[in-house]
Amino acid sequence: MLYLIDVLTLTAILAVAVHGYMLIKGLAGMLHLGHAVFYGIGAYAGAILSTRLLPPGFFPVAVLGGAVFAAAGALLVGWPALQARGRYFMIVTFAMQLIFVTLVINFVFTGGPDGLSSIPRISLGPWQPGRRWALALGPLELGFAQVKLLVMTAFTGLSFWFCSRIVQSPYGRLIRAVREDEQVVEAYGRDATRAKLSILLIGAGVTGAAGSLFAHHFNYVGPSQFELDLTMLLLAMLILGGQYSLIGATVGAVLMIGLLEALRFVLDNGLGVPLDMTAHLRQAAYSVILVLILAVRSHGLFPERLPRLARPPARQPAPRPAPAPTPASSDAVTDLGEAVLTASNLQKHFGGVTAVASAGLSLRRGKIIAIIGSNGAGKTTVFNILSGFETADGGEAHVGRTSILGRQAAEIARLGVARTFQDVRIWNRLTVIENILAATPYQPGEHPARLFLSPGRVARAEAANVADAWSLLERFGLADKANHPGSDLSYAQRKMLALGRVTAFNPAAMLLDEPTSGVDPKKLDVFLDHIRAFAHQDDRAVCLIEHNMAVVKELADWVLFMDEGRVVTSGTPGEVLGDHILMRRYLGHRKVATA
Amino acid sequence: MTTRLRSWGRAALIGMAAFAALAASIGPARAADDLPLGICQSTAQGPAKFSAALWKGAEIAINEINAQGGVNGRKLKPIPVDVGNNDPAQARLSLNKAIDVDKIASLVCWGTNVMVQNGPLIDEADVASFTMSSGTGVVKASKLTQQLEAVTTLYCKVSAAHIKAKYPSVKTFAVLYVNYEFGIELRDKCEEEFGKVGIKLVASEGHPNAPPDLRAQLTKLLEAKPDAIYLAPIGGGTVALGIRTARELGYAGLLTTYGAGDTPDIYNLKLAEGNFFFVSNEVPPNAPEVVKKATAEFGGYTPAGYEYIWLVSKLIRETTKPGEAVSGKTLIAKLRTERDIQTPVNRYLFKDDGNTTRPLAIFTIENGGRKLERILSAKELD
Amino acid sequence: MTLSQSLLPFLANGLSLGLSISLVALAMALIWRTVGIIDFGLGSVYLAVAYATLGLTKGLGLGLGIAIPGALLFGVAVSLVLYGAVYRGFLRRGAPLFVMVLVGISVFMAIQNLIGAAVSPQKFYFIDTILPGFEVAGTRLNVAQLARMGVSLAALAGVAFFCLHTGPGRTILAVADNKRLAQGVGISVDRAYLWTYGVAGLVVGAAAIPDVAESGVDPYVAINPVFLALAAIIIGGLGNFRSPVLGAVLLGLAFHLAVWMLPASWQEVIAYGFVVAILVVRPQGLFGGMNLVRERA
Repeated sequence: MLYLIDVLTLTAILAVAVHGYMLIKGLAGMLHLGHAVFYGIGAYAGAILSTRLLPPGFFPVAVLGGAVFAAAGALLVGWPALQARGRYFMIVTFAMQLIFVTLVINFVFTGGPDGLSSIPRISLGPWQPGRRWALALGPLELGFAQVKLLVMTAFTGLSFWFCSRIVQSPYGRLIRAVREDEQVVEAYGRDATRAKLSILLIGAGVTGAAGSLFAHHFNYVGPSQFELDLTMLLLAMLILGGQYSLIGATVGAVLMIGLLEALRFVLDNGLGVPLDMTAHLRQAAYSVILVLILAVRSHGLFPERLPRLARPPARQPAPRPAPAPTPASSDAVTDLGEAVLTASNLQKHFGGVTAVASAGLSLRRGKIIAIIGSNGAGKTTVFNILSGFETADGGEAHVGRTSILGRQAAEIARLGVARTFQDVRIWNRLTVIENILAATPYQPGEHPARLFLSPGRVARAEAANVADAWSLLERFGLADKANHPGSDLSYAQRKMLALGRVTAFNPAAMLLDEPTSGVDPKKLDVFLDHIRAFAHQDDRAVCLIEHNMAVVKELADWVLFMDEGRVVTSGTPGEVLGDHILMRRYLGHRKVATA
Repeated sequence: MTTRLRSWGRAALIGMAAFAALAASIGPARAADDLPLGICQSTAQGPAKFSAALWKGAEIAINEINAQGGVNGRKLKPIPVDVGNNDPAQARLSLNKAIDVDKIASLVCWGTNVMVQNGPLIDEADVASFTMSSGTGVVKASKLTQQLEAVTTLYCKVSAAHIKAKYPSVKTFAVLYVNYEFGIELRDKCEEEFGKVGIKLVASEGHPNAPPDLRAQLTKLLEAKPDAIYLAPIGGGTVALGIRTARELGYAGLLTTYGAGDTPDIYNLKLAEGNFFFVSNEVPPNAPEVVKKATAEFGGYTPAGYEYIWLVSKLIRETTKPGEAVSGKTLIAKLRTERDIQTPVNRYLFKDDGNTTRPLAIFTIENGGRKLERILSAKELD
Repeated sequence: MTLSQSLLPFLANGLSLGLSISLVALAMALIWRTVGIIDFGLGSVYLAVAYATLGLTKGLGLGLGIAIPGALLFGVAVSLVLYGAVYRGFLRRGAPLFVMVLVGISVFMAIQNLIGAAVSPQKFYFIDTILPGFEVAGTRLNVAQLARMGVSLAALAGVAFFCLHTGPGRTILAVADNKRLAQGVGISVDRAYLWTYGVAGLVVGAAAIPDVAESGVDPYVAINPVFLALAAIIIGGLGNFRSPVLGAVLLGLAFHLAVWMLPASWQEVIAYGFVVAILVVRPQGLFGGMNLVRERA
């Protein structure tokens, strides 16, 4: 039945486009209202290649061409859009959608309002079937349309495989981390904007390939086919199926087309509606049903499938975590006790308010420095400056001999400085072990090219990282929650995970922002042991912001007291905490708890 | 784990429900002795309007013929073919369904791209098709498609001749056209045809498909001081906007357009009552009353629907025995052999290449309705 | 003809178009800032008012003096009903932004197509003659255009006054600024939203009536105004009430100046290209303040 075959073929092609949408919206969390444009660029590119540039029989090249041009279009749009930190991304893509049709109508090489006709059919080298071509398989005869359906379905399968590889890879994990909290991704040395741009290009490429498939299936492309309603249809397919799932994306495409065709039947044949109204009613019914679906199940049918990573067989006792590497600057300091991170005279003003007037510190390997002071004293701002999340208005800071002020957060992290956040900020929809893995530095699988070009190396690195991650989780007592999403953890467990995560990054210097705040006093000891181990066992330079004087007394080798943006005094815990006048000023008239 | 099973289960249920609806609708939807005839439907802004008129005309004919027992004992049944936004891909899906599932015996449709891109499909399915699209490329794309509408060249020729005869002081003209292939074709053909009678094209401007505002374009056209302005939109609303805007900007010259502007909103437009004429399809005085009334209410495309049904019924009766399958090739061959056919409304000349010479008429607007100025029969125009 | 002579009509018409867009832009901006969503469902209100005016004048034979206020009231009612019946449920459950956008567009499309099916896709006019007008700046502006210009300025002043000097208006501003805080001091967010939708409905209705007096009523008349309104907001930003209005004026001028400079078929490319350029060069809008306040995507 030609009708059914045609419907299924179109469904297969649209499913590929929805896969691309899933990568951009579901995996990377980028809200994007111009998906039909990528599809359209791919369709036009494929059409122009096949009708004017390529010799016959080069259909697969045209498909690839569609992907490449769509990705180029995405680069053109995405690069400025993402520079503005992605907030305007939705608006930019929407504007792109509105303009695309107008542009295409006005250019001659796209065929103007007529579009491009007589696009060659699917082919492969010498196999260039005509419409009447048939394949005889014993008693069965497959017509051209059926073979075309099989070819398109094969492409759907290929796209599914390709996108699955992306989703389940370390690269996919990185993208999901960017979706959850891109600032934290930067704190762990990865460039979030570049990651978002790369997945945008990949998603657009997949969609462009789908567009080229469409061009060769329908043999005609015209401007009216790539308007906002197509984007809305693709978005509806994605949402219906479940935007975080590739299976969902595929099923969504099938169900949505099924719905539209079922509506056609119901209205034409079933309901006794005046027939001249059915076209309008079909559109209206589709819109209403869409709203109902969104009301009832806006998460879609298929939820996100988080990976379950198996614990490797116990080969040996958990290896000790590697000692902290030297900072990757050319004048690396290797002597024990030398300064890893130094800063002096830091200043920061916010409008008329001075957050930091003059602050400096010197972090050494194996030593723990605590910064204390009342709220608003400028402690977190100092951390933000040192980790690159704020720019300083004055002063200096160095890792080894390399100046870090003015550098991006990701760069500074790569130099060996890592931090935790006051509000924890784990990646909620990554599993616990994925939180560790996403922070692990050496991951060849984070580069999409290497994912496909050197899969062996990627697999080996991933296996080693997974083994190390399990050990780390055991060290921090979170092994039994390894495959749970981060959102399942209790507050204390999250704070523990934050410590584990920063350890996984293996930095030379750790800046811990209130690592024990809000933790049940009974569980405090475990935290203290870990922090102590960072300095004494792992040989890192540790700096922590703390409000709990007991913790400070237990851990710190040196204390800095900040007030109103300045380091007012510094000394050993005994000296600073023993200074009653200071403490009274800081804590009021209560006695310092030293127990 | 259970959530996943529930999702699968839910998906399966929805999928099954969708297909059940599909299956149920395919089955007893059409009685075996119906004669299904395909009629296109549009949700695009312009075509939606004349699509409605055409359906009304078709329904009148269907009711009449069915009341007399149908064709070869079979009742006529209209099958909607949804072409969406004049989207050829959407049209193909609908056409496939109409052909495969509903087994239409004939089709009437429009939209240059829709028809051109689906021509081969129509031929392969052996479905006789009629088109209301004025683009000249349509009948070239299919051997089984016949024009029911006048093509652009003919419209321009008739307008030019009428202007030369009735408005001899017109020496220059301008064109306001929709920026689609169809509008561009109309502009080019009119430049040619008007040129042949000595009227020069002095300005032309394009507009998007459904413009909210034509002031900019008309201001520019008026700068060239044309004696006449030819409006060439895709039908439905834009002609009226063009007339109003031109008159408001102070243009007192001649305004003219073709058949797609033949809709009730023009009839009621007082501004159209002076110095404006259009070339469209006439409903002669001896046409059935019911058709005349419907045309006055729904617009100039109403008779086309009526005639489509009438023609197809006639062709089937004369070529196909009861119980025999209908073949598009046979129908079209009979149509073109007989060539000169008088329907209850019009007299046509159906040519072998798919083009048709049909009577056209020149109308002005008076008292809230069309006023017939002149009829040109097909023989005259040929 | 000198350059300025031929330019003036385009400037005048461009300004008129801009002010007509500005009303819908103002309504959309009000909802965007207060509720935090881009609401294309406003197109439904536009259509409702257009058809109500048609029905009251042609259908019931009432004069414009009664039909206009009647239609405006109907528009407000439709806007409130859409909020209460459709949007409120989604908003209460914290639906993400893209779901709200989809819902808005779907409601708009559903109503457009229902009207197409139930009434007719035909275009109807409720004013058949030339509207009286005046020769201004080398072109002729009719009373509908002048009314539109006057109404936009009045609406701008009115909305600003309402928000700054009346109780309900101030709650709208409070919720727009910081919803949690507003709730914390006992402001009913639902009430503020109701006021927002009511005012927006009124403003959209005020835009619709002069528009369709000129260009007629059919189911598709609302598409352009809504998308142009969004473009206007992109250009102007959301910094204060003036911004989207200024953005709309610039957009209207861009549309007409494009035709003055180039063949008219490039009109949309130029105008939308202008929008994209603004987005790239100054994403917060020319006059600042545009950001996705409730980025819950």
